[in-house]
Amino acid sequence: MNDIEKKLLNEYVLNQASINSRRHFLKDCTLGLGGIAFGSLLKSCAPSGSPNLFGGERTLNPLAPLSPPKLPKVKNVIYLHMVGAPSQLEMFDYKPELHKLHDQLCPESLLKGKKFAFIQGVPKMLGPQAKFTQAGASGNWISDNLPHFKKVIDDVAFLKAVNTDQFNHGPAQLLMHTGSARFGRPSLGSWATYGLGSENQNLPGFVVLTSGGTPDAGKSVWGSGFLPSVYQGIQCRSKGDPVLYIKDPKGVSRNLKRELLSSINEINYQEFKAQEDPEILTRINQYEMAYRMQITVPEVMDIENEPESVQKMYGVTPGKESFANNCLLARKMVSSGVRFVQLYDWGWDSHGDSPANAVDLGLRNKCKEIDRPITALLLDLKQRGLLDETLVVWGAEFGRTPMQENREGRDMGYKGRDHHGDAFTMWMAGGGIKKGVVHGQTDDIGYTAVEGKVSVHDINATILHLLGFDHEEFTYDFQGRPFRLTDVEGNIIREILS
Amino acid sequence: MDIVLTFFGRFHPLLVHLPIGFILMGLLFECYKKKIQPAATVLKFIFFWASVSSLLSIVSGIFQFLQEGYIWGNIQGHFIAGVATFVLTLGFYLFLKGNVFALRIPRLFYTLGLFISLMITGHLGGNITHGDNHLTEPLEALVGINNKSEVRFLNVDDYSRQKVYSGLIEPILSKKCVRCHNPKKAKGQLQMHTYAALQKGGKNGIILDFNSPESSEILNRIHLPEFEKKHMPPRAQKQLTQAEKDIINYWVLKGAPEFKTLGELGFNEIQLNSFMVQENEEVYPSIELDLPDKKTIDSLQSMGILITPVKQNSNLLFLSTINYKAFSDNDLGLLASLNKHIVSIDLSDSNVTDAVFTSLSKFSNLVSIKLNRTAISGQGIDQLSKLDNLKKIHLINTNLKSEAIHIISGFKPLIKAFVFQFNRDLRSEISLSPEILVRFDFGNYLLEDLPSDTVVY
Ligand code: HEC
Repeated sequence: MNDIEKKLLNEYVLNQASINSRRHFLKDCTLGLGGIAFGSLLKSCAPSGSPNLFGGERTLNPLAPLSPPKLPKVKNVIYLHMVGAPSQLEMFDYKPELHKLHDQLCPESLLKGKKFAFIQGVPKMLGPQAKFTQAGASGNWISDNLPHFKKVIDDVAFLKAVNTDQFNHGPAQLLMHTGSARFGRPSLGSWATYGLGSENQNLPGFVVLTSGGTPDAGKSVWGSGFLPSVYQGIQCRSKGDPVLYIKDPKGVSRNLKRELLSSINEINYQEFKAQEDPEILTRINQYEMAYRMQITVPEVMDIENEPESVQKMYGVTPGKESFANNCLLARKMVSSGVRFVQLYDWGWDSHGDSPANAVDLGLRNKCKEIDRPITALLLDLKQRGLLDETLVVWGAEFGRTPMQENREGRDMGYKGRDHHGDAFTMWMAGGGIKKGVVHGQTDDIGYTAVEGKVSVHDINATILHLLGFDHEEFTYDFQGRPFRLTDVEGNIIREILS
Repeated sequence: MDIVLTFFGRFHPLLVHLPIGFILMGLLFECYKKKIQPAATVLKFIFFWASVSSLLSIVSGIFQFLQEGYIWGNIQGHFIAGVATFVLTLGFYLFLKGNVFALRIPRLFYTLGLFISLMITGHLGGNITHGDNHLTEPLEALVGINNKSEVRFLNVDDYSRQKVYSGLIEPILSKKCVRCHNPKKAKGQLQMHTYAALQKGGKNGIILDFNSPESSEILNRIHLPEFEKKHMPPRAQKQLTQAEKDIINYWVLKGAPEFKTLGELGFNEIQLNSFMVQENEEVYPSIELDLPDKKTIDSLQSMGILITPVKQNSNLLFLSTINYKAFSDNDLGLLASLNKHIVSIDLSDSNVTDAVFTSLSKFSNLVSIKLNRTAISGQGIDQLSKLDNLKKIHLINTNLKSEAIHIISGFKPLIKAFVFQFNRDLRSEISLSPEILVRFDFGNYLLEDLPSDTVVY
């Protein structure tokens, strides 16, 4: 044995030793019980009930498509999240009474026992800073900030009394997307990909597109939590390389890359056979997926080869990062078989501390940025026969107060509203959703729910239901107990289901 | 005194393991007595303590029986076998000591008898604590017995005429409670298998309070947080779902009647939704089919064709060529043995041509067909009129001729057709009545520019 061989052997032994953790030791010692434990480990990779006839290869490909337990209403989800929390009072929740109270001091009774992020003392009420009209055959109310949206208003179901118990952006975003205000839980999109896999083997099952910035809670809002990491959202960029580091390095040909990958995967697979750690399979699969994505992702992410008319309808600006681009991309992704597309648009935090954050200035510009793209998205999905099998969700982490914000007890320079989670508006459209209905109602000033209050868990339960899951049965065993996206809560919002 | 008895009784599950260990150890020595030659004193020592611990087990067992609401009929066997074990242990101990009476019986009678009675006692004891089918349960799965009770049992049409108790409450209770509250095993001396038993209540009296329903013990128990000791079903057991809790709550508050119907108590559809037999199967034909052919599925999958059941454990299949765009007319032959199973097919972007229609017309249960971005022109699409279940067809961005639209419009039952073409306006090429037209989506939606589009605030 020469020196190098000795060194290699040494390294190997050390490596083995570090992998043989206490857990592995315990498993190995239980006289083949380890084998049984392994079986259940693998099972954890495939949600129960997948018949061997079809889904047997989940162990090798954690993204292999699976059927949901119930007949699904939709195959895909496009979730539009307005980061910062738009004011429902200038968009969807029409409150003429609030006009009358404009500039009057807020009655004490409304403030008792309430906590706000910034409001202090007794703030003034702030009347709606937009004109409202009734639109569509449904006659639902909508503000003039969203003129195009009137065209599709009959396709959506409004939830006017959504409730959250979080009043800061980060925790509220986490709650909305992972079912918990603290870190560590898998996001809705991860649950969906875990349960359903990906139909297109060249594209990820869960894609994230951002415009304007990253959500306050960071990438955890699309993280996989305790699920295998292959189920986390993959962020694609509409500017520059769609996925970071997707291009081959200079001087490395595609063939060389292929050979390199095959060797690495072979080694990894042997490691898997020795260690039986499913994360190794995840890694193998991610290398393979990345290799295939090198070709398909740039294709799907190219919006310039879409017909002019379509580009115009969405109002895209190729080469720039914009919400409009992302909407068109979302449609392209969904028609290419991507299961879950999550959009985050940043810049909705209208506190009134600057013109951009004023409900009568910046907010209108933000509305303009989304009005045409969202309307185009719904129409485009419809003309491609995709709206029937896609669920579109629009929302935010919370809503805003009917009071004017008075940071540090002083009047603000511009008209703004504080964070408010008691009652805000979201909407859904697409497969399985009743068209043109309104569920939930707020009081005369849009402060609290008086009817049809729904929680974050209710919304997630409903989304899972539409994808074919019973949110109470869809669990993942972690740290000795089954976990659900909806924790121990959540009721399906039947009122908006068709 | 009660407390002391209960306390001692609770040691029964612990104590019983002592005689089991001692006796088995003794019997092992017995087997190997030629090889190991244990001193006679060791055997005596073992069986002395085996006798003592057996006796303690029996006594603690009796206390447990008296204090915890077991029913004699259920523990009778366990008790007799236990006493037999004790008698045999003691007998063998005396035998070893050279007692003349004990010596009259052959040694093998003791050892064999001990082994058998010990097994019987242990098994019966296990059944009492873990349920009759404790041992056999894992085997049932092997041989395919699956008695997981069906959750959904109400029909949308006639649910309101169902009796609340027999139609709704009883199935819930028997799924989540009766396992521990039945005549054989009445935890807390409460039985829940019949309405009469519910009325009777348990150790601490009634559980349904007809005078002030809201303080009924049954509600207290199910509404306690799960970590509370008194929460029912106990932690780590299959819990009631929120809907089930709500239903029980509603029923009890309405006075927990036995014979009232769901309609009379004012239950609505939304409340009961998770108990309704799911209707959305209606999308697909309800037919009984054999398992699809495994070989065919394997070979399709190895080509990269996506084929999955429309939902778990269904024999109705969805097929897509999303990962195998080279799919062509000839390949349809490969699917022949699945022509009943495939209910939804997506051949978009593949190489199929108009010949596809003849082949597809043999897939009698097809509900949805997608041929987007293929070279089809619609020649032969009339073949599809044979498909009675067809509800949707997607023909976006193809070479579709306007005649094909007229043919599709004659299909019975009427179907929804997506016929959006990028570069031409098919709609202007045809004339159809408005009620037929709504079945077609010609796309080409535009969003006109609005004056406000260019205003910046
Ligand atoms: C795993 C076994 C188990 C299951 C399942 C179970 N119970 Fe119990 N139950 C017990 C035990 C043990 C007691 C006695 C200890 C106590 O009072 O907490 C008891 C006691 C009770 C009592 C009190 C009786 C009395 O008078 O003291 C009520 C009421 C009750 N259970 C209701 C229910 C209901 C309702 C369910 C189903 C939703 C249920 N139980 C399911 C084990 C079970």
